[in-house]
Amino acid sequence: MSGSEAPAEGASALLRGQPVIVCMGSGGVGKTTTSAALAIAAARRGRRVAVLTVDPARRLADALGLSEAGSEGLGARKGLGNEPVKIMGPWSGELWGVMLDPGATFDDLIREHAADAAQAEAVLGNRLYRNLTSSLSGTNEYMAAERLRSLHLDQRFDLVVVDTPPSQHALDLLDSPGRLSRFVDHRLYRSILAPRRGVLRAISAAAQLAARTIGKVVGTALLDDVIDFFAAFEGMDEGFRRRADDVEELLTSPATAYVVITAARRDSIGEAGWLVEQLNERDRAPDAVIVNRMTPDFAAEFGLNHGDHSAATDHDESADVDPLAVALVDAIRLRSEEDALVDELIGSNTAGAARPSVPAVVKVDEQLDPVADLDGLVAMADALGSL
Amino acid sequence: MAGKGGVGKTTVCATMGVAAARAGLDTLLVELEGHSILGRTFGVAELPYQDVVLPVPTSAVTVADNGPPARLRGRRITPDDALLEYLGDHGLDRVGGRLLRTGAIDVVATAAPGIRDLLALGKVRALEQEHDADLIIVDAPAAGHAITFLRSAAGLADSDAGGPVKDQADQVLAMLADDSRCQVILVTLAEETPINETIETAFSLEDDVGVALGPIVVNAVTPALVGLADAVARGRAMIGLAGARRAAGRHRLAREHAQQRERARLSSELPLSQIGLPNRFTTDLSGDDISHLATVFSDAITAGPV
Repeated sequence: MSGSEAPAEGASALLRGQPVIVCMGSGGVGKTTTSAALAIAAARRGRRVAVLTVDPARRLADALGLSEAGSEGLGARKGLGNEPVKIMGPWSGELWGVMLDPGATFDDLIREHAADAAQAEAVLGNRLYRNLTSSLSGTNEYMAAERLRSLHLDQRFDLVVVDTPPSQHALDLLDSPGRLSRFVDHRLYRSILAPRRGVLRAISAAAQLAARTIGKVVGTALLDDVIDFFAAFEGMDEGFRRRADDVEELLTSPATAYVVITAARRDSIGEAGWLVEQLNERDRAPDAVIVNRMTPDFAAEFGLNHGDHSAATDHDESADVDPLAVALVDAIRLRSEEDALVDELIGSNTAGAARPSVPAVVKVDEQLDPVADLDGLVAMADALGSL
Repeated sequence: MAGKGGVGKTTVCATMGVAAARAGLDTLLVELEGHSILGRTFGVAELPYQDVVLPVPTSAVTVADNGPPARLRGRRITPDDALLEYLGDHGLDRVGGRLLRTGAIDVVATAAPGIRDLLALGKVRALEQEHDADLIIVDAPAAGHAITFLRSAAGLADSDAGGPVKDQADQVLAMLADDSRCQVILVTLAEETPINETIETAFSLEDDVGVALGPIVVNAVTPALVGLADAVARGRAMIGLAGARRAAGRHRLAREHAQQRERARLSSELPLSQIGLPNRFTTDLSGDDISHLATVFSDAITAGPV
């Protein structure tokens, strides 16, 4: 792949290092494809890699052998979905694929923390259980974090690459354990629960009013279902909280590397900048920033000087102008704007202070054909890994 | 407006807003998410909850054709704002303590998944009912979320939810299902993954929500260059300026062809017309760019289905 550049350390240092790589970024930047390519690059270096992916495009899943033609996808076939599947390919190490199934992961957590089978069934069987777990903000992110931890502890792998769920808020993954703990801990839930436990308790008038308001708004049948869920959940909250702490510890440790993936567009770069700032606020810097979809740098590739290509400044297609010249001018202008955006991203932050430096910024030219099969992914992996 | 993340949905909203205002429609742009750039496209840092007037770029041509533009406004209605307002209307204000208020909000949102989205839509419905504008353009969440977002109304209408929530759900659903009141415009790029998602989203919306789909807007279409194919075929240079030109030309032509293939695939899978908006080859759209895109959009609407 021509026209991609990075400082000397590049992505290859990343691939020899930590046991966990978390790839974050907004939607539409090629995050899933890049995560897979990074995983393959590591496998080609002899590592035993598990790549945890979330809702991948059908073709990527096909390329990785994670689905079958015409398959509806997750968990539908034996061995696919939440359990790792070994992917064969041209690498000395190993590559295993996991498609995150948040529902199944939450089910496993319930079973793990329930006092007995009866309690597990009471929760799993609750009419609103599935709705509840998907409507809790940050649940998908927490399930990704939980699954990441279990894969990290799995002796079969020495590297886990995580493709995070697309989320509106930058560091939902990192924040998710805290959020889950707070949810489980919520005083209001406890107040509402009390009558159901048949334990005499002083319930504040305010809490009663809150409960009545809720009932008025959603209807009492729905409120009863929520109460039933928490009644069944009773006693598991301590275990959930401890697990959330473990997960958070892993996410904040030096063992976990963060890669910000973005595209050379104003909105994507803006979000990436915000991601970097959020990481900085948690005393982290990303270990690498990968910028996809760059316009090829024709000026650099062909050794052009600044003055050489300033002909044909007019876009009027009816004028007698060489279309090749127009194509070049457009491409050069766009590339220089993209480069300026990337400089903005890795330069100083808005307060004027220098950001903690980003060890590796990798620019990747846009691919004209989507990554259609394993060969394409391997080529991308080699390009990333050599940088 | 709905589409996968990164397809330029917000740009298209702005474009449509300008086109509508130029055509004499009193238009309201509504954004629903926290950090959208809709406001910045018009030079407003952040759109507030109450609407503000936005500048409409015009030219001698547009004014000559249509007269001066009608009013264009923008506002942001986040789901949390909508839920807070709703609970306030139902007596939550009387509950003491921020913790209980936020706790109640959490419980409600947990018990009735999608209620935040529903109430945001409910607020839009209220504006529509009041004839707040001739046209309301909503910058909806990205594709996957859009389905659950619009389905929230259907889901809650079907569920155990009682009382006022159910009423809201029914009313919103009625608006969504009435094609004289509401249309969904899907925005995409002429690339494989966004097109796949567009197709899935379209079927899902029709099946699960019963909403009418308008034309599909295909964003950032590489404008065709006259004579490009011939020039690329004829070219022989491998180095220097001529070589760079040829390489750039080949790259652009390949992009053009790939996009044409994807658009053809989209046509064959979805019986909806397409409106293509040109790539402006810049990372930062200026007022002029939006103005140009609005003209292209207006012309496409006037010309009829493609």
